[in-house]
Amino acid sequence: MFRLSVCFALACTTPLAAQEFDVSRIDARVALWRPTAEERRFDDIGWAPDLCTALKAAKTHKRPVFLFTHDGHMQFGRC
Amino acid sequence: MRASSLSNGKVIELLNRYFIPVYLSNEDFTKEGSAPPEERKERQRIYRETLDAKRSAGSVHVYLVTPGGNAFDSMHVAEAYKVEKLVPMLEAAVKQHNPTMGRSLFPATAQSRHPKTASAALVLHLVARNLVKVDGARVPVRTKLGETRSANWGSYPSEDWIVFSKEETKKLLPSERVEKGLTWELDADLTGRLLVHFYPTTENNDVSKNKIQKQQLKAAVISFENGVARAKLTGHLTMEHWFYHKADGNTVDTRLVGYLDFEPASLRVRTLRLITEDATYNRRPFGVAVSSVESP
Repeated sequence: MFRLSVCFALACTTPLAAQEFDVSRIDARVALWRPTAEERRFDDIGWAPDLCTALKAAKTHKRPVFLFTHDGHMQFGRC
Repeated sequence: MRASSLSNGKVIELLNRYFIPVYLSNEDFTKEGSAPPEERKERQRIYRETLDAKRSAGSVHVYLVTPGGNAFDSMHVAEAYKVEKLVPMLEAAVKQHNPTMGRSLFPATAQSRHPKTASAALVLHLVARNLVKVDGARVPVRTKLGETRSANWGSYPSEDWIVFSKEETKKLLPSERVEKGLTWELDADLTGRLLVHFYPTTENNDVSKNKIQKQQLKAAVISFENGVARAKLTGHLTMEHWFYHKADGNTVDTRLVGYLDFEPASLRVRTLRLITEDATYNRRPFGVAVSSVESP
């Protein structure tokens, strides 16, 4: 864990130009910038795959449908 | 809305226990969009029913629909992103329709997923983040999500999935005999298709509007052992990217660094990783990290 933290700290703080080419630093940055579980809370919702499937399930299970229409692609954070 | 109400614990609990949640992208419902006719018909019907009932309706909206399929409530996103507005709306619907409390009917799974591809395609996962300077270092913005005030641009990262076919992937590799020290420039058309996604969270996500002004991505073989070559990647990008959907002169400027592991004999890419260095958009710091991902 300590080694990982050091790696992340390096990934954040040391300009590449000032270093030798360092693959582990690139790998650390890829890992550090990946979305965290907290940033993916939205994935904790059990989304229906499409509207027709949602409407069918609503009828069968007697639940209302929550429909959100939006521009872009919310699942990618491009919206 | 994803950063605020749709990341709120109470909202998530209400949706999973009492509702069938579904979201639709308006892009899929344009003339060229991928939505099938039945989906279009139902979406339009719910929209019309809401309008006819003189309720708020629009393209970026929450609609509530009875178990029987009739629209009965709605809210504009400018309200629905607020936790204190959406929770009472959902609670009122629960009171009105008294649905059986239960578990989520559809599994909660990652919504940003590895795309289905032909075998041997190169799949790249891109993450773009807003950064902030702390003690001279650039670190990711970490916003506490799930609150009304969480709803800011860049409060969580953006993602893209870029796919190069097996044939396209070969264009990333050198045509000369591979040995340590070999240098070449990666195919500009192909890398351009990746680099147009190098921008932070903005309202405009139409990459066809992005204008690459300068780009270069060079490779240099630094090792070649056991049939696997590793090339260091370096380059830069300057690209006009509008924040909204009209020209604003905003540009992305960044240096690029990464590496490419490949098998010269089979022309197969094993790993590609590429990150930005000192990237700015409209002079503000952000960062992009790209990594090849194996098929699940």
